[in-house]
Amino acid sequence: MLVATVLIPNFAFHVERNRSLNILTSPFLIVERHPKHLTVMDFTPGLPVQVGMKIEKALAKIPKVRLIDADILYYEKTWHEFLDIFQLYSSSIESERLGLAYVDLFDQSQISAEDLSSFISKKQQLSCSLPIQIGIGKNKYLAYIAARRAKPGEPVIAPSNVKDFLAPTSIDYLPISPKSHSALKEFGLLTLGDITHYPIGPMQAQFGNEGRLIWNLAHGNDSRPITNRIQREVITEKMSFASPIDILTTIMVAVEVLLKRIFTHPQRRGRGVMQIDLQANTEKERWTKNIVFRPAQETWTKCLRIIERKLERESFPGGLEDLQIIASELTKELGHQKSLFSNHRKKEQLGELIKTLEVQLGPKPHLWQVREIEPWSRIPERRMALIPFVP
Amino acid sequence: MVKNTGTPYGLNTFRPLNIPEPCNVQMGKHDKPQIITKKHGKSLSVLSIKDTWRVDDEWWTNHPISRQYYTILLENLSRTTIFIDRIGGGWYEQGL
Amino acid sequence: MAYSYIELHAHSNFSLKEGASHIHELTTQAQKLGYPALGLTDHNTLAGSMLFTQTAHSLGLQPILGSEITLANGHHLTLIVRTQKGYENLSHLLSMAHISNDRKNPLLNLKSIPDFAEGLTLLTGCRKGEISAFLAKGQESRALRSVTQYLDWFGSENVYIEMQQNYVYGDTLRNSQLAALAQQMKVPIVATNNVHYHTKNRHRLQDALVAISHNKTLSETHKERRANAEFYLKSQKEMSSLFHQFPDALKNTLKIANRCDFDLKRDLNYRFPNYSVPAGYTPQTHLENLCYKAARRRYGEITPEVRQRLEREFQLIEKHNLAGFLLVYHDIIQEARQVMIDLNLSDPEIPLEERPPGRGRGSSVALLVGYLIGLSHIDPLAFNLKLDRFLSEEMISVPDIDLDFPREIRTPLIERIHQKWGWEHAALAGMIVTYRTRSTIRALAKALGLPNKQISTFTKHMHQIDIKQIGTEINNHPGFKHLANIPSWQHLGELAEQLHGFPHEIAQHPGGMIISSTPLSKIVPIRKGAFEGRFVMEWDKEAIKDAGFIKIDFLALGTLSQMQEALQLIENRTGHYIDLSRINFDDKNVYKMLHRADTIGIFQVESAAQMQAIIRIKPENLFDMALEVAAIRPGVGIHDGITHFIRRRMKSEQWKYDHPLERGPLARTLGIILYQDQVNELAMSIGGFSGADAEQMRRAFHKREKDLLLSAWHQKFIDGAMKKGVPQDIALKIFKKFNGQYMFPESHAFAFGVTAYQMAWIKYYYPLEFYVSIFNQQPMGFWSLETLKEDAKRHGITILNVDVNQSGEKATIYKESLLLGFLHVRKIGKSNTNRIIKARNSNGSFVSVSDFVKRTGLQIDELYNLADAGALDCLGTSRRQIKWKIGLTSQPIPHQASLNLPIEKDLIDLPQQSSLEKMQREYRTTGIYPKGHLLSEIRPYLSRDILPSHKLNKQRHAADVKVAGIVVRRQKPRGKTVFITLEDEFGLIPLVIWEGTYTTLKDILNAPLLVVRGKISRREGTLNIIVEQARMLPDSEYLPQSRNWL
Repeated sequence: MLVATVLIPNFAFHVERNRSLNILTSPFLIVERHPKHLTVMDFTPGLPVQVGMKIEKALAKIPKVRLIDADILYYEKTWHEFLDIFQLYSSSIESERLGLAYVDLFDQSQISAEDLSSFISKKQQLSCSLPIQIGIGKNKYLAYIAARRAKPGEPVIAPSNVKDFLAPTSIDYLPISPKSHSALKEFGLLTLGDITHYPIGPMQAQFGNEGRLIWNLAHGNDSRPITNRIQREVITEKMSFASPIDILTTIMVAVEVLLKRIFTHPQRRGRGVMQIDLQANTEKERWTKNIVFRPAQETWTKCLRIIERKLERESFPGGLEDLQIIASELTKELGHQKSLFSNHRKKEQLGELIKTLEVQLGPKPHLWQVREIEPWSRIPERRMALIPFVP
Repeated sequence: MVKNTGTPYGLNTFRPLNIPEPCNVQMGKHDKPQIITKKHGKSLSVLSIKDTWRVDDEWWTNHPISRQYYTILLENLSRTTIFIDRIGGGWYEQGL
Repeated sequence: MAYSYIELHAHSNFSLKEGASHIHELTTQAQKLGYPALGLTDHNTLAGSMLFTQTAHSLGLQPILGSEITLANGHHLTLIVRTQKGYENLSHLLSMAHISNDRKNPLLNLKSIPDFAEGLTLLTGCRKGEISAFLAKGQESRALRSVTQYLDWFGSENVYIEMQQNYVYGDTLRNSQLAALAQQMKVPIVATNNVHYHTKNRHRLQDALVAISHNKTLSETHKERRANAEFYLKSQKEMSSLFHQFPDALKNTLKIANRCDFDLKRDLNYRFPNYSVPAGYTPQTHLENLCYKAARRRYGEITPEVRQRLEREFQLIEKHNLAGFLLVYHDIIQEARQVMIDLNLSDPEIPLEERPPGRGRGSSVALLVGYLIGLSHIDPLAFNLKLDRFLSEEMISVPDIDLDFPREIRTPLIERIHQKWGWEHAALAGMIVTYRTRSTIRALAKALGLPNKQISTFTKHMHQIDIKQIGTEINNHPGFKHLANIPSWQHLGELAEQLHGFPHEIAQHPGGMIISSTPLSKIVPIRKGAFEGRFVMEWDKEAIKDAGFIKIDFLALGTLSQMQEALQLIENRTGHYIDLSRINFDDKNVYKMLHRADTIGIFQVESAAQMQAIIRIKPENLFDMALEVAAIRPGVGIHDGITHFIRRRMKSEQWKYDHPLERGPLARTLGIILYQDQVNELAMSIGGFSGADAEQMRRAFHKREKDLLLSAWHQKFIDGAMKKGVPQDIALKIFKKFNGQYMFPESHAFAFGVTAYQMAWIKYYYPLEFYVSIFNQQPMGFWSLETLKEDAKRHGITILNVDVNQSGEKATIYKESLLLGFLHVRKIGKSNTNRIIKARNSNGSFVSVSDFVKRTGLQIDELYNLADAGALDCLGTSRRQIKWKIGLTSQPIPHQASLNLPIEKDLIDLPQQSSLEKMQREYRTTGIYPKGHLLSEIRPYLSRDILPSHKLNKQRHAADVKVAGIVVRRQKPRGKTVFITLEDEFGLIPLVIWEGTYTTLKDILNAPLLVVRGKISRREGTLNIIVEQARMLPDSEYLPQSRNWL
């Protein structure tokens, strides 16, 4: 087997930098939102932070750094577009994470590392400032370590003297649990060379199954196969507002409209939705929210309820000027049965009629409905609104 | 007043209803509305003020609201509601 | 000025998260508007009633008390107090509302009202009143029935239909319906404005408070917020215009006010409990008898001096009827003694005065009677302590006696008191928790909908900045100025300044209890405390003091716990029983130790500022100890008092009195005000004040409304001084020396000075017991465990790591060394400790790692912590090997059943741990490194020109030096200078950083490990380094945390 590892450290950082030149000059952190905290997803190289660090800790080290919300979908889209280049070489490409992929070269010994590197430089669509490191080896791990040692434009091939090649490598580059990493350091085993001093038995006794993996990788043995990547399928719907809205009830009306469109989209028919990303431009900055559904949702009403609960405690950076919903992680097609209830059938028929109108007259909304937004508001113009009708 | 984002009405937009309409009001004794002239309409005298109330809100935003409302009976025996915008100035007519 | 209206329905910020003005703002505005009276009707509380009464009086306003109560059905009613009975009834109704419901949601059952209606006037309430609610739903008959009910309960003269016109949509209609109803039922109407703030522009804060109370943003609380900004205290002209159709509604406000005849200060019915004395005695004679017996024990005989003092005290006690009061305290001390005996901390054979369970503090220490009945540990005759501050002919209020107890005693003692007197007669004092900088910003930021991450950064920055500067910081600071144009950020600055200092909640005072013979619920509303079975009154200590309640403070003092433990350890190790009241208080060895600033761990004199002062003040007796302890207080430092005092004591400063009349009060402190009492003495000798007035004036400096109250006192002082021939400019100069910052009373300073000396004595003669006990009492004091450890080592004490085969729960003495206990190791709490000790006790010492793992069953991370702490060193050669063995023993191979197979085949030789690695892990797991210091590990890697601390003494003034160390303290006491203390392997290094330097180096100076360059500053025997440059050393995340007061 021959494997090429493609490594782009700080991938998200480079994508953001390419996307928006005006942040080129000042350092920034890309922040990922979790239910109860924010963590560093990526950062300007050289900053004293690590991926996964809580934002409070990072800000304590660099209080004046700029913060940017992670746009995972965009990074993933960009990453997969980049990996598409390698389809010419292989049908088996594994994306381990953003910035790290393995390409199964299927023992194409006539392809040299230089050829591969040169090909990438010519073919890549992205800015040449992406620092792509290429490593080649007879298995994933050797190729990975080779990539670690490579420089952009100077690929590395792992030699046959694997033990010497791997000996100085830090255990930080072992794909094992944080607990095992920490334990190895505690025991003073800091490099792969340190590990190779010992037989496999004690390592297994101490670390369990991971002990065997640690020992094998330290000796350059890696039987892990390359698993083909799975690309995300998404459905996106968007709406803009004549005036910024920051009141939850109003936002939920807009969410309802967009969800209805998504759930009536032909691509979604019969399939469950496992993930929703809400994105909006506000008066101040971009806002995003990721919501995962377990189990996958088949109806817009349930989605709406879940989204409403999640947004009740949400703090928006400003009034929303527009709203985009991206549905992804679609399941396989589930059984679809025509409803037996007449009201439901009527709605379905109306929906189909509207689609017919769109085809004949153009895509802009032709049917509108009056909707109560805040009927109790002291400000009369907040009480009702006109929204495009979606059955 | 509610800020306009500049998005043109049309595709995929969301429109509030009952937007206030500007009008002209002449004040009389004790600083009370006396004559109202609607947009593209004729002037009508105010027979009496049935009720008055005040709304002060959204001061923390870019578009604070401060309005003194009046429900008035006009000379043609119709009722309407008007308000004076205490921030931007100007009189408006608005259904309730 | 003629007036036509009185506002009877106003809310202050004691309507928590609802009222948007301080009481003094409301009363001042009322006065400006020409009101003769004002009604305060906070929601479900009378917490602000004392402050309101005093403030109103000082402005010449009649204070009318009341409350807007919430009924069980959610509706509101307004109750106004007419008479003393009415007040008692209102207080009781509010207590019922609080006690029979959820702590945060008091509701009153309507059926409770009839039995407690006497003395109250009912106004039917605001928009949320029952009547308004029924009329809004068209349920006129229900409204009629309710009014009939009210008339039945309160009487036709005491019920009014309440009308409000705030220009809210629906007000006009509602008022016409209410007027019609009033006419139909022949019930008078009354106008109110439901005031929630004193001026119109404060409506913004009121809106924000509503959002805060619902834990939502302003946008989300549209329904809950008021419709407009019309809920301010209006002028009479404005109210007349609003109610021109209902002139009677305005007139009736005057009628209601005229009938209110209750004065809170005059008419409260508080009584201290009576004391049951033995047959044949009165409280006075019983007390005298106890005292004479104790005096014979203490002095051997009743000397003329003792007799004279006792007779004077007995005379004053009898005059003010305090015998029962003192005997109740004596009872409390007896209860405390019993608690000590129950906890094996004392022996019934030891007389009370030899091992007192508590120690008095404050001016009560001056009482000889107190000394004799066990309230204090100080003989006032020996130290010539004046009685007047505590007990005088014209005493205006019953004195407070505050008692310090060891920590272990306090909670059981409070429970015993509750049980002995019952909750209706013994309740805990309240404490008004107010908004501080961080809580202010967070609450408002959430209301304004500001993003969390920006607010986190901003709050961290702002905690060092004055709240008044918040607007300036937003506008100017590079990290935030891009936000300055956003309206919500602009409002944050303005609202934060207003909200800061507002009451936030009513909590329990840490240790104050009120004991009363009258049921407390009739004197001040009682509510449930946070802990089950605790009941708290709504008033804080200021209101309690003003009301003349007797508050007993049970305070827990870590030093007393340390002292108890040290004495016990000394007795165990040496067999010596020590009576600290009989040690040599003039021991030169002890004072020499203090003069060297060898005071780490010693109560009251261990702080960095004290260490700088003590080498200059050089106390040589207990009087000097009192001066030392009193000198480093904010109130003394405010006009550089400390500096001048020290210079005068060192005779390096010429000085004279501003006026000869200062001599009496200030001679003993070299012309500087060091004690609170001296403020009183100056007020009397210069201003001609009586003792009572002097005390009032001094207390006025500490009150929330001080600006208002002090102007009157200021004038009185100047007038009095001039009458005594003191020139006005001198009188003004002397008045300016008074301030509201904290200073000790003289007797308090004595009491603390004696305790400080006693601890110093123990440290000098029994350092091992001193350090073992202070280790066991952490957290307390000024310094971290690591610094205490270094100090112990300098005193020749060896500290031993935890040992699984020797250690106990806490630190103990083992082979003349201090052996750390299991509780010092992270994740080894009490239950794990018990497991280890039980296993050891039942089957003997542990013989191997596997043996330990199996017999104790601890989790792997707990075992690793013990290994890293060195606790298992007795069972293996290297800690890495020990941890490897733990891993093998604790984690059987998954696919194999646990067969207890030997692990030897899986043992390997691991690389040796460096001492730096060991040290880091010991810091991480125990917070200290007994065998050494970080700096000794890294010093070989530092450049040679970095001086160790013990070489600094040889440097001349203004010499350039470089030093390195761990940061153990950061402080910014007042003003802008920052003080940091570094510690290296030889001692402490005090740094001074001027404001400009700190601004430049702030981020670096936050690091735990620093190298600093600066200049030596030598003054009057002190040594500091004035910092010019600093850099961080690569930090270890496991370093002990510094103590920060920035």
